[in-house]
Amino acid sequence: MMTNGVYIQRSLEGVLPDANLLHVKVRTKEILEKELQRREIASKYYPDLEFQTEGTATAARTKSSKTNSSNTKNSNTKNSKSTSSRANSLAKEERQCKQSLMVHGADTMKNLAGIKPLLPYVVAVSVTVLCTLVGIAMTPVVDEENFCMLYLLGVVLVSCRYGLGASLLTVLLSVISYDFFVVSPHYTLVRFETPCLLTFVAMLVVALTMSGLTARVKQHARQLDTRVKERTYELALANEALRVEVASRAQAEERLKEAVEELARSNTALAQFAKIASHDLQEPLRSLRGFTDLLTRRYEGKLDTKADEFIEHINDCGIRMERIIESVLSHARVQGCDRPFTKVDLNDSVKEAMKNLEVAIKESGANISIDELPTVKGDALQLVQLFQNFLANAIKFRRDEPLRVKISCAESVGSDEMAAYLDVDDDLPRAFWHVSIRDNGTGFESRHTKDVFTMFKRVHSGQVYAGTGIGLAICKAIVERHGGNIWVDTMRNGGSTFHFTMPIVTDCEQSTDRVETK
Amino acid sequence: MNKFIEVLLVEDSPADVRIAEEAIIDAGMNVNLHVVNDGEAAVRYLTQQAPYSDAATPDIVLLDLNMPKMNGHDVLEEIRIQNNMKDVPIVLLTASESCDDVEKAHSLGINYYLRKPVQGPGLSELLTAVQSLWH
Repeated sequence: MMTNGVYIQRSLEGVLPDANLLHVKVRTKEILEKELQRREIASKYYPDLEFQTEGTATAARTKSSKTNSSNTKNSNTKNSKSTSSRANSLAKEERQCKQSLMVHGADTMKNLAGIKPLLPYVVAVSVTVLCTLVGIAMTPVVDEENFCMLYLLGVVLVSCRYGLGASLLTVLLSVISYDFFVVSPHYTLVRFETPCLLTFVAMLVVALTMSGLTARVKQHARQLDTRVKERTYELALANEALRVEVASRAQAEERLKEAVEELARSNTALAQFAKIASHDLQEPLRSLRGFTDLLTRRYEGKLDTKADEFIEHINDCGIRMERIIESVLSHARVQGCDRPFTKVDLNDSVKEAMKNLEVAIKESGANISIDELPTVKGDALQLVQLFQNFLANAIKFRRDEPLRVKISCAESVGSDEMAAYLDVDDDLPRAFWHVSIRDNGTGFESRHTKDVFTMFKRVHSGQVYAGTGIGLAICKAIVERHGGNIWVDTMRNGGSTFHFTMPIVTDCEQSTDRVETK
Repeated sequence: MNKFIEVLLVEDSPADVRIAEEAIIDAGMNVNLHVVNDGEAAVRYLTQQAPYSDAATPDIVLLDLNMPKMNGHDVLEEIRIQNNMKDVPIVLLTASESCDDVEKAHSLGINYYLRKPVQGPGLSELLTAVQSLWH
């Protein structure tokens, strides 16, 4: 059996005389791959069916041409002997039939190919004969001089279709026939003189011009055809590449989606774990604190000074551990919270936060100035906590000079600078409230700008500043739950500015107006 | 002289029981403290099943939330359907102030909640309140 690949390759050689061999190879490879796929599918459904590879195709063809002459019954018995299954023998029979058909087809094509080069000359002779016959038939009614036009017509037709060789032959035969059959005296070449010679030269010129033009037109057509075919291949290849690309992208997208889901799951699991672990840790710790309280109350001063000191240490450690667990719990609560969002006036949130920190603010003598803030959609309690943590942070890391904090807000359309800084995706909504909390505190080294939002990451030493290092991590969790981003700038001359964004919600028009008219 | 207040403490942690005992001593009040160590025992006690068939009805129940077998929520569900138990004040004891837990307990009918361990002014105030209510 001749495989499709070989067959196509041959037909390509036919139509693409100067085709880029690479294209042919690629195409052939594609077809072979498709053939292999087809076979795979076929072998799945017809396990008995055998396939011949390209190498054995020729052998099979010669074998089948031999067996072709022998009758079907013979081959049938032979097949039924070698295979027990009827389906198998039928398949083989069918295959042999196909083979013989292919062989016949190929032979016929070969014969035709043998005749093909001679065809123009045959036509040339035929046309001349036809013209002569018409000429003889019409001699009684038409002047003999006019018949040269008839021959010229023949020459034109042949040169248009069959090229130079055939048209020259037509010219020669036409002149001879014209003189021999049409011009009187008939059946002699005696009048082959100037008029005839003139006819001959005219025909020759016409033949040469016409065949030249035809050749050029044909060449152009061939080139065009080749280009069209090449382009078609390129297009097919590009299409295939595109399909593969699209498929791989879809796959990547699917993988990404899975990864995101997995991440969300593990995040939830982690938050859940933190909540449960801290909850369970809290119980024995509370008992521990209960006993140290008892010890302090009942035995302080009754034991030696070392015992008092040890009890104090146990108490301190207990308090610190309690704070850490509280922080972890509140962080977990932010993440695991599903309280629905409501309209929240951030001015109220700041006021509430300042009320909660009243004592600390008074002690530090902080001067807090607040611009008009917008209304957003969010969790009122968490937004209070957000400002409270920022303010507490500023109070904690103040310098000797009086603390000044400025809370301001602007509408942001997602500047490129901000996007680059945050390394965020362009798909995020671009309309935000951009809230900044600026202080004149100690600041920190700029290499810590991302660390400050990490849980338990404290960029200052614990000896100087007490704390669990979770306040800003909670801020981050809150802002992220509200669909915003958080980052920090630190000034060279001290002080830092915390920034966060919150999506602008369109139905909070009142607040938008307020900011615009400000 | 004031009558003794009957207090049922439902608590599985011996340390917390000990702290509660000390706190009651510190409060200087006349309290009969009964202790059971899990939710099941609490239900038996409150419904006067064996071995608590002649147990005194408590004036107040201090109920730990986190316990083996039956936790505080289960106990609440179980005893609030009993007719004679509808009006006994129940104080929930929690280590954390997790809103979810407290809210759920409130919906099941607790009267108050205290952070563990049971000690200090919170407890003595509570006991004084119970005393003035019931005696």
